Amino acid sequence: MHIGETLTALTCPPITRELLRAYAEASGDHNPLHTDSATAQAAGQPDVIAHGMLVMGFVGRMLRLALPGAQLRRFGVRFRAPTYLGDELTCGGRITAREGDLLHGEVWATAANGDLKLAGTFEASL
Amino acid sequence: MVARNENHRIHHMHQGTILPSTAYTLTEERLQAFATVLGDSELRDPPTVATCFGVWANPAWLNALRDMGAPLEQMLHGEEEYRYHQPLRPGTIIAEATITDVREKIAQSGPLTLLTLTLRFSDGAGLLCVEGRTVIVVKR
Repeated sequence: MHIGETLTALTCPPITRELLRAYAEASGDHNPLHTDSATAQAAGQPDVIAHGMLVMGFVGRMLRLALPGAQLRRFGVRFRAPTYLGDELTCGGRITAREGDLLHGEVWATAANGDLKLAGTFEASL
Repeated sequence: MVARNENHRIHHMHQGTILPSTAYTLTEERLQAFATVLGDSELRDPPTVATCFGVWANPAWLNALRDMGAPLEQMLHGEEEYRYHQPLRPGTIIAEATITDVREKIAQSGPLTLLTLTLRFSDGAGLLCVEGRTVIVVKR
Protein backbone atom coordinates (compact mmCIF):
# COMPACT_ATOMS: atom_id res chain seq x y z
CA MET A 1 0.00 0.00 0.00
CA HIS A 2 1.43 3.39 -0.92
CA ILE A 3 0.52 6.93 0.13
CA GLY A 4 -2.42 8.20 -1.87
CA GLU A 5 -3.67 4.72 -2.74
CA THR A 6 -7.44 4.46 -2.57
CA LEU A 7 -9.13 1.57 -0.77
CA THR A 8 -11.60 -0.58 -2.70
CA ALA A 9 -14.96 1.13 -2.22
CA LEU A 10 -17.93 -0.71 -0.76
CA THR A 11 -21.46 -0.09 -2.01
CA CYS A 12 -23.95 -0.67 0.81
CA PRO A 13 -27.52 -1.89 0.61
CA PRO A 14 -30.15 0.89 0.64
CA ILE A 15 -31.32 2.06 4.06
CA THR A 16 -34.74 0.53 4.75
CA ARG A 17 -36.98 0.42 7.82
CA GLU A 18 -36.35 -3.34 7.99
CA LEU A 19 -32.57 -2.79 8.05
CA LEU A 20 -32.90 -0.19 10.84
CA ARG A 21 -35.11 -2.52 12.89
CA ALA A 22 -32.62 -5.35 12.39
CA TYR A 23 -29.71 -3.08 13.34
CA ALA A 24 -31.54 -1.92 16.49
CA GLU A 25 -32.02 -5.55 17.48
CA ALA A 26 -28.43 -6.63 16.71
CA SER A 27 -26.75 -3.61 18.33
CA GLY A 28 -29.09 -3.06 21.28
CA ASP A 29 -29.62 0.59 20.26
CA HIS A 30 -33.39 0.90 20.55
CA ASN A 31 -33.60 4.69 20.21
CA PRO A 32 -36.99 5.18 18.47
CA LEU A 33 -35.43 7.97 16.36
CA HIS A 34 -34.31 5.09 14.12
CA THR A 35 -37.49 3.00 14.06
CA ASP A 36 -40.50 5.25 14.77
CA SER A 37 -41.53 7.90 12.23
CA ALA A 38 -43.44 10.04 14.77
CA THR A 39 -40.42 10.21 17.11
CA ALA A 40 -38.14 11.16 14.22
CA GLN A 41 -40.55 13.85 13.01
CA ALA A 42 -40.85 15.28 16.54
CA ALA A 43 -37.04 15.58 16.45
CA GLY A 44 -37.27 17.59 13.23
CA GLN A 45 -36.35 14.82 10.78
CA PRO A 46 -38.44 13.99 7.69
CA ASP A 47 -38.65 10.36 8.84
CA VAL A 48 -36.52 7.82 10.70
CA ILE A 49 -32.75 8.23 10.26
CA ALA A 50 -30.09 5.54 10.28
CA HIS A 51 -28.03 4.79 13.38
CA GLY A 52 -24.69 6.54 12.97
CA MET A 53 -23.08 3.32 14.13
CA LEU A 54 -24.66 1.43 11.22
CA VAL A 55 -22.87 3.79 8.84
CA MET A 56 -19.60 3.40 10.82
CA GLY A 57 -20.21 -0.36 10.75
CA PHE A 58 -20.38 -0.33 6.95
CA VAL A 59 -17.14 1.69 6.83
CA GLY A 60 -15.53 -0.81 9.22
CA ARG A 61 -16.56 -3.63 6.90
CA MET A 62 -15.03 -1.73 3.96
CA LEU A 63 -11.75 -1.46 5.92
CA ARG A 64 -11.74 -5.19 6.68
CA LEU A 65 -12.36 -6.06 3.02
CA ALA A 66 -9.91 -3.50 1.62
CA LEU A 67 -7.09 -4.36 4.06
CA PRO A 68 -7.28 -8.14 4.47
CA GLY A 69 -4.79 -9.36 7.03
CA ALA A 70 -4.05 -5.87 8.37
CA GLN A 71 -4.73 -5.22 12.02
CA LEU A 72 -6.85 -2.20 12.79
CA ARG A 73 -5.29 -0.16 15.62
CA ARG A 74 -7.51 2.91 15.67
CA PHE A 75 -10.71 3.90 13.88
CA GLY A 76 -12.45 7.20 14.54
CA VAL A 77 -15.24 9.01 12.72
CA ARG A 78 -17.33 12.13 12.82
CA PHE A 79 -20.98 11.92 11.73
CA ARG A 80 -21.47 14.77 9.30
CA ALA A 81 -25.14 14.50 8.28
CA PRO A 82 -28.15 12.26 8.94
CA THR A 83 -28.56 9.20 6.71
CA TYR A 84 -32.11 8.83 5.42
CA LEU A 85 -34.38 6.02 4.24
CA GLY A 86 -33.48 5.09 0.66
CA ASP A 87 -29.91 6.36 0.90
CA GLU A 88 -27.45 4.07 -0.86
CA LEU A 89 -24.10 4.69 0.77
CA THR A 90 -20.69 4.20 -0.72
CA CYS A 91 -17.82 3.76 1.72
CA GLY A 92 -14.34 4.70 0.60
CA GLY A 93 -10.91 5.46 1.93
CA ARG A 94 -7.36 6.40 1.13
CA ILE A 95 -3.90 5.84 2.58
CA THR A 96 -2.48 9.15 3.81
CA ALA A 97 0.78 8.14 5.51
CA ARG A 98 2.94 5.14 6.23
CA GLU A 99 5.47 4.63 9.02
CA GLY A 100 7.05 1.22 8.55
CA ASP A 101 4.24 -1.30 8.89
CA LEU A 102 1.77 1.26 10.24
CA LEU A 103 -0.68 2.74 7.73
CA HIS A 104 -2.62 5.94 8.37
CA GLY A 105 -5.67 6.63 6.30
CA GLU A 106 -8.90 8.51 5.92
CA VAL A 107 -12.37 7.10 5.31
CA TRP A 108 -15.74 8.45 4.27
CA ALA A 109 -19.30 7.45 3.48
CA THR A 110 -21.34 9.34 0.92
CA ALA A 111 -24.88 9.06 -0.42
CA ALA A 112 -25.56 8.62 -4.15
CA ASN A 113 -26.18 12.39 -4.46
CA GLY A 114 -22.69 13.04 -3.10
CA ASP A 115 -23.73 14.15 0.40
CA LEU A 116 -21.00 13.35 2.92
CA LYS A 117 -22.46 11.39 5.85
CA LEU A 118 -19.32 10.35 7.71
CA ALA A 119 -15.64 11.26 7.62
CA GLY A 120 -12.91 9.69 9.69
CA THR A 121 -9.42 8.33 10.04
CA PHE A 122 -7.80 5.01 10.90
CA GLU A 123 -4.48 3.38 11.67
CA ALA A 124 -3.75 -0.22 10.72
CA SER A 125 -0.64 -2.33 10.99
CA LEU A 126 0.40 -4.72 8.22
CA MET B 1 -27.27 9.84 41.81
CA VAL B 2 -29.32 12.75 40.52
CA ALA B 3 -27.35 15.95 40.14
CA ARG B 4 -29.25 18.86 38.66
CA ASN B 5 -28.17 22.38 37.97
CA GLU B 6 -30.57 25.32 37.88
CA ASN B 7 -31.64 24.75 34.30
CA HIS B 8 -31.62 20.98 34.61
CA ARG B 9 -29.07 20.81 31.88
CA ILE B 10 -25.94 18.71 31.79
CA HIS B 11 -23.19 20.94 32.96
CA HIS B 12 -19.42 21.22 33.33
CA MET B 13 -19.78 20.00 36.94
CA HIS B 14 -20.68 16.56 35.55
CA GLN B 15 -17.21 16.22 34.05
CA GLY B 16 -15.42 13.35 35.78
CA THR B 17 -18.64 11.47 36.56
CA ILE B 18 -18.16 7.71 36.32
CA LEU B 19 -21.19 5.84 34.99
CA PRO B 20 -22.04 2.44 36.55
CA SER B 21 -19.80 -0.25 35.05
CA THR B 22 -21.83 -2.92 33.30
CA ALA B 23 -21.17 -6.62 32.65
CA TYR B 24 -22.43 -8.25 29.46
CA THR B 25 -22.21 -11.70 27.98
CA LEU B 26 -21.10 -11.61 24.35
CA THR B 27 -22.30 -14.74 22.59
CA GLU B 28 -21.18 -16.25 19.28
CA GLU B 29 -24.78 -15.73 18.06
CA ARG B 30 -24.65 -12.04 18.92
CA LEU B 31 -21.38 -11.57 17.05
CA GLN B 32 -22.84 -13.44 14.08
CA ALA B 33 -26.04 -11.35 14.14
CA PHE B 34 -24.05 -8.12 14.31
CA ALA B 35 -21.86 -9.13 11.34
CA THR B 36 -24.91 -10.27 9.37
CA VAL B 37 -26.79 -6.99 9.79
CA LEU B 38 -23.74 -5.19 8.37
CA GLY B 39 -24.24 -7.34 5.27
CA ASP B 40 -21.49 -9.90 5.79
CA SER B 41 -22.05 -12.97 7.95
CA GLU B 42 -18.40 -13.89 7.27
CA LEU B 43 -17.13 -10.63 8.81
CA ARG B 44 -14.73 -11.59 11.61
CA ASP B 45 -14.32 -9.31 14.64
CA PRO B 46 -16.47 -6.42 13.33
CA PRO B 47 -14.57 -3.19 14.15
CA THR B 48 -17.68 -1.54 15.64
CA VAL B 49 -19.01 -4.43 17.75
CA ALA B 50 -18.10 -2.55 20.96
CA THR B 51 -21.14 -0.38 20.24
CA CYS B 52 -23.26 -3.28 21.54
CA PHE B 53 -21.81 -2.39 24.98
CA GLY B 54 -21.71 1.37 24.49
CA VAL B 55 -23.99 4.16 25.60
CA TRP B 56 -26.73 3.62 23.01
CA ALA B 57 -27.27 0.06 24.20
CA ASN B 58 -26.96 0.79 27.94
CA PRO B 59 -30.26 1.88 29.57
CA ALA B 60 -28.54 2.52 32.94
CA TRP B 61 -26.11 4.95 31.32
CA LEU B 62 -28.86 6.63 29.31
CA ASN B 63 -30.94 7.01 32.48
CA ALA B 64 -27.97 8.49 34.37
CA LEU B 65 -27.44 11.02 31.57
CA ARG B 66 -31.17 11.84 31.55
CA ASP B 67 -31.00 12.52 35.30
CA MET B 68 -28.10 14.91 34.63
CA GLY B 69 -30.20 16.82 32.10
CA ALA B 70 -29.24 15.08 28.85
CA PRO B 71 -32.32 13.14 27.67
CA LEU B 72 -32.09 10.73 24.72
CA GLU B 73 -34.66 12.77 22.73
CA GLN B 74 -32.20 15.69 22.60
CA MET B 75 -29.15 13.64 21.65
CA LEU B 76 -27.38 13.03 18.37
CA HIS B 77 -24.24 11.01 17.85
CA GLY B 78 -21.39 13.35 16.97
CA GLU B 79 -18.24 11.22 16.92
CA GLU B 80 -17.05 7.71 17.73
CA GLU B 81 -13.52 6.39 18.07
CA TYR B 82 -12.01 3.03 18.99
CA ARG B 83 -8.49 1.94 19.87
CA TYR B 84 -8.02 -1.79 19.52
CA HIS B 85 -5.86 -3.88 21.84
CA GLN B 86 -7.46 -7.34 21.76
CA PRO B 87 -10.47 -8.65 19.84
CA LEU B 88 -13.77 -8.75 21.75
CA ARG B 89 -14.41 -12.49 21.95
CA PRO B 90 -17.46 -14.39 23.19
CA GLY B 91 -17.59 -14.34 26.99
CA THR B 92 -17.90 -11.65 29.64
CA ILE B 93 -17.41 -8.03 28.57
CA ILE B 94 -17.09 -5.30 31.20
CA ALA B 95 -18.01 -1.83 29.92
CA GLU B 96 -16.87 1.29 31.80
CA ALA B 97 -17.60 4.92 30.96
CA THR B 98 -16.49 8.26 32.36
CA ILE B 99 -17.79 11.68 31.32
CA THR B 100 -14.48 13.30 30.40
CA ASP B 101 -15.66 16.51 28.76
CA VAL B 102 -18.75 18.72 28.80
CA ARG B 103 -18.63 21.87 26.70
CA GLU B 104 -21.19 24.30 25.42
CA LYS B 105 -21.22 25.53 21.88
CA ILE B 106 -23.40 27.81 19.79
CA ALA B 107 -23.99 26.18 16.38
CA GLN B 108 -26.00 27.49 13.43
CA SER B 109 -28.85 25.25 14.60
CA GLY B 110 -28.74 26.75 18.11
CA PRO B 111 -27.05 26.10 21.45
CA LEU B 112 -25.55 22.65 21.97
CA THR B 113 -23.69 20.78 24.66
CA LEU B 114 -20.95 18.40 23.52
CA LEU B 115 -20.58 15.52 25.91
CA THR B 116 -17.57 13.19 25.68
CA LEU B 117 -17.67 9.70 27.16
CA THR B 118 -14.40 7.82 27.49
CA LEU B 119 -15.00 4.08 27.38
CA ARG B 120 -13.12 0.92 28.30
CA PHE B 121 -14.19 -2.56 27.25
CA SER B 122 -12.43 -5.42 29.05
CA ASP B 123 -12.84 -9.17 29.10
CA GLY B 124 -13.81 -11.28 32.12
CA ALA B 125 -10.15 -11.57 33.19
CA GLY B 126 -9.82 -7.77 33.26
CA LEU B 127 -7.75 -7.55 30.06
CA LEU B 128 -8.39 -4.25 28.26
CA CYS B 129 -9.64 -5.08 24.74
CA VAL B 130 -10.96 -1.84 23.26
CA GLU B 131 -10.86 1.81 24.36
CA GLY B 132 -13.53 4.11 23.01
CA ARG B 133 -14.63 7.69 22.86
CA THR B 134 -18.18 8.80 22.13
CA VAL B 135 -19.10 12.44 21.53
CA ILE B 136 -22.80 13.13 22.05
CA VAL B 137 -24.38 16.32 20.76
CA VAL B 138 -27.13 17.45 23.15
CA LYS B 139 -29.56 20.04 21.78
CA ARG B 140 -30.57 22.66 24.33
